[in-house]
Amino acid sequence: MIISLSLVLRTATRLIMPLLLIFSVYMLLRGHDKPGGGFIAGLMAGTAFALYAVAYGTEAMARLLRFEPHAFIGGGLLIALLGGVPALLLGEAFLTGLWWTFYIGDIAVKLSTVLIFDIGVYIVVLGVSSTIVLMLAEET
Amino acid sequence: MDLSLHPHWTVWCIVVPLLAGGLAVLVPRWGKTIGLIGAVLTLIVVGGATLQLLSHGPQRIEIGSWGAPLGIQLQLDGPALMMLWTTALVSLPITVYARDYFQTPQQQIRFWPLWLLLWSTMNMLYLSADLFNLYITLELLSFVSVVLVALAGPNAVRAAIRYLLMNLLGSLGFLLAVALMYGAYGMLDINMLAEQVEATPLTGLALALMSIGLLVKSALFPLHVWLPPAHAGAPAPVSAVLSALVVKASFYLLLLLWLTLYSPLVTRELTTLVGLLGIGAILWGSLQALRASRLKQLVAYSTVAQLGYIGLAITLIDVAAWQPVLTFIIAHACAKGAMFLAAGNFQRAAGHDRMALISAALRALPVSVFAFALAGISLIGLPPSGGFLAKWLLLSAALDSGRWLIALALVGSGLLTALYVFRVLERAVRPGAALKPVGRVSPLMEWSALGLGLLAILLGFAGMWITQILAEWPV
Amino acid sequence: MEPLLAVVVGGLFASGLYMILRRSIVKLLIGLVLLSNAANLVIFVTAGLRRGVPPLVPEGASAPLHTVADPLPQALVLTAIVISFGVLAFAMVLVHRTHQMVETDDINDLTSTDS
Repeated sequence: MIISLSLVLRTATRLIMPLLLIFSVYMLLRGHDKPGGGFIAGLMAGTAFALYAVAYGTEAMARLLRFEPHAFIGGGLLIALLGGVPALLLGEAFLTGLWWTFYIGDIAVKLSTVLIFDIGVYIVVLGVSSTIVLMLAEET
Repeated sequence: MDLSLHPHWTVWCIVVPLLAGGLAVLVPRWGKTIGLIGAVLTLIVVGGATLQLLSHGPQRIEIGSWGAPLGIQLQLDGPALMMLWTTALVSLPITVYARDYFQTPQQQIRFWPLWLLLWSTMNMLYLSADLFNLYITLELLSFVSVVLVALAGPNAVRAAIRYLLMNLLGSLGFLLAVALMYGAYGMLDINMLAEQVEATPLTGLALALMSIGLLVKSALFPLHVWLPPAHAGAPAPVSAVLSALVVKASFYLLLLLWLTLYSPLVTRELTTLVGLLGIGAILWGSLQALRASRLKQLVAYSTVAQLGYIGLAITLIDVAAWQPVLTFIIAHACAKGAMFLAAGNFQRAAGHDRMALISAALRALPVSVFAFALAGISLIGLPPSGGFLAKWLLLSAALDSGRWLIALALVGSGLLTALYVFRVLERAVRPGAALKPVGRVSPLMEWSALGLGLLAILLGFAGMWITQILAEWPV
Repeated sequence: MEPLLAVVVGGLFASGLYMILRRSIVKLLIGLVLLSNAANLVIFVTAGLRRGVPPLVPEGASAPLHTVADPLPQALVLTAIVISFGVLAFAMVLVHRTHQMVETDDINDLTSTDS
C-alpha cells in the first residue's frame, strides 16, 4: 500500500487515533445498558488502525498491533467463551449473564460476565477488521 | 456426582471444538497437538451427550437462560445424536490423517483453527432448534468450507469462488425464508412454529425458498455444478470432510424442516420431484464419474451421484421417515471419507491424480487400495456393509409402499456405482513399472483411510442401534 | 411507510438479480450485496415500523404499557448484517486474488478449470 505523503493526514492521524481508541473503549463500556457494545466498539478500533495504515503504511500498522491479527481473533474468541463458563460452574445455562454491583462513593459500578463476553467480541472484531485491511493491502 | 445430570454436555459439544480452534489460532506451533486433543475431547463430550440422552431423554437447553421465543435454544434428540456421532467418528480419522498430510507451516496454521471451527459449526447445526440460528450455522459452514478449499493454493481459488457464490445464493434464499416465516408467525423456534404452521401461500413461498437454498447447498442435481471442482480441487482431508459431512448437513436440515416444520405442506408431488432430481443425479453423476480423467474428480462426481440416493430416499419419508435417509447419510459419510483419504494418498505418492497414470501409485499403496475397495463395497451396497443396510431399508420401504420405479432405480444405480468403483480398482492389478514416489505417504495416512473404510463396513452391523435410537427419541 | 419499503425491497431484489445475471464477478458481488440488503430489509419491516415506542418495561410494571416495536428482528438484522459484512469482505479478497491470477473478471473464464 502506498504510504500517504500528506503531512496533514499524518499529523491528524496522530491526534485522531487516540481519540478513536478511547471512544471505542467508551462505546464498549456503554454497551452495558445503552446503545453500544463490543461489536461496534471493535469496528471503531479497527477503523482507527485502518486510518493509521492509510497514513503510515500497513507495515507500521502491523508493528503497532504488536501481535499477529490472527492472535487477536483466537484470543478474543477464548475470552468471549470464557465469559460463559462461570455460569456453567454455578449450574446455570451456558452464557447466562452474572452481575455484580458495587459502589465507589455514589457511583454504582456494574461488572458482569456479559462484559467479559463483550471484551472478547471487541478483540475478535478488531482482529478481523485488521486482517481484512492487511489482506487487501497485500500485493497491490 | 451423576455427570449425566448436567445439561452442559450438549453445550460442550459446540464449545470444546471452538475452544480448541481458538487455542490453535493463538498458539499456531502446537496446532497439530491441539487439533488431536480437541478431536478426542469432542468425541468424549459427544459420549457424555449420549449418556445424557440415555438417562434423561430429549432435552432443550436455553443458552444464556433466555427462554423461547426470545432466546436461542439447543435441542438434543435421536437424529441430532446420530449426526453428532457420525461427525465425530468420521472427523477423528480425518484429523489423524491431516496431521501428516499438511506439510507447509502456512497450510498448518490455517488448517487447524478452521477445521475445528467447522466441526463446532456442524455440531451447532445439528443441535440448533431455532430457524435463525440455523441460518447462522449454514452461513458459517459454507464460509469456513470455502476458506478450506482455497487452502489448496492458487489453482483452487477459482473453484472456491464458484463454491462461495453458489452457497451465498443458497444462504440468501434461506435467510429470506426465515424472514417470511418470522413475518407470518412472529417466532423462530422450530417446535413452536411446527404447531402453528398452516398451508398458506406465504408459508409455501418460504418452503420453496428454503428448500431451494438447501438443495443448492446440498448439491442435488442440477444444482451440483459447484461441487465437483471444489471437492476435487481441495486438499484431501478437506475434500473428505466436505463430501462426507458438510453436504450432508444441509440435507439433514432439509429433512428436519420437511418432517417437522413444513409437514402439512410437503406433498407427494414435491417429494416425487426431489426423487426425480435424485434419479437425474445418479445417472449424471455416475456418467461423469465414468469419464472423469482424474481420480479425485471421479470421487467427487460419485458424491453427486450418491447425493441423488438421498433425493430418492426423500420420496419415502412419508412411509419411512428418518431411518433410511439417516442410515444412508452415515454409510456414505464413512465410505466417501475413506475414498477421498485413499485418493489423497495416491495423489501424494504419484504427485498427480490423472487416471491414465495412476496405476503405479495404486500398486505401491496396497493398504489404501484396500480402504478404497472397502468404501467401494459400501457405496455399491454389497452386504454386509453400511451401504447395504441403507439400501435394504430404502428398498423395503419402496416395495412396501409399492413404488416400483424407485426400487428399480435403486437396484440399477448399484450397477453404475460398481462400474466406476471397478474402473479404479482395475488399475490396481494392471502390470507395469514400479512407482517412483514423488511424495511420502506416512503409515498413519494409510491406516486412517483404512479405519474409515472398516467403519463403513462395520456400520452394516449397527442397524439395530440406529433403529432403536430413532424409535426411542424422535424429534 | 411499509408499502414504500415493500417497493424499495422489490427494487433492491430486481437490481440485485439483474446484477447477478451479469458476467462480471465484481458486478455479481455487488448483486449479492444488494440481495442481502434486501433480505435484511425484509426482516426489518416484519418488526412493524413504529416510532418512539422502545420495548421497555416501565418500573413497577410487569409488561410494556403500549404496543411496542418488536425487538427481535432488530437483533436478527444486526446479526445478519454482521454476517454479510464478514462474508462479503472475504468474497472481495477472494475476487481480488482471482483477478490477480486470471487477469479477468469474466465469470465464464472460471469454468475452464475442471481438468
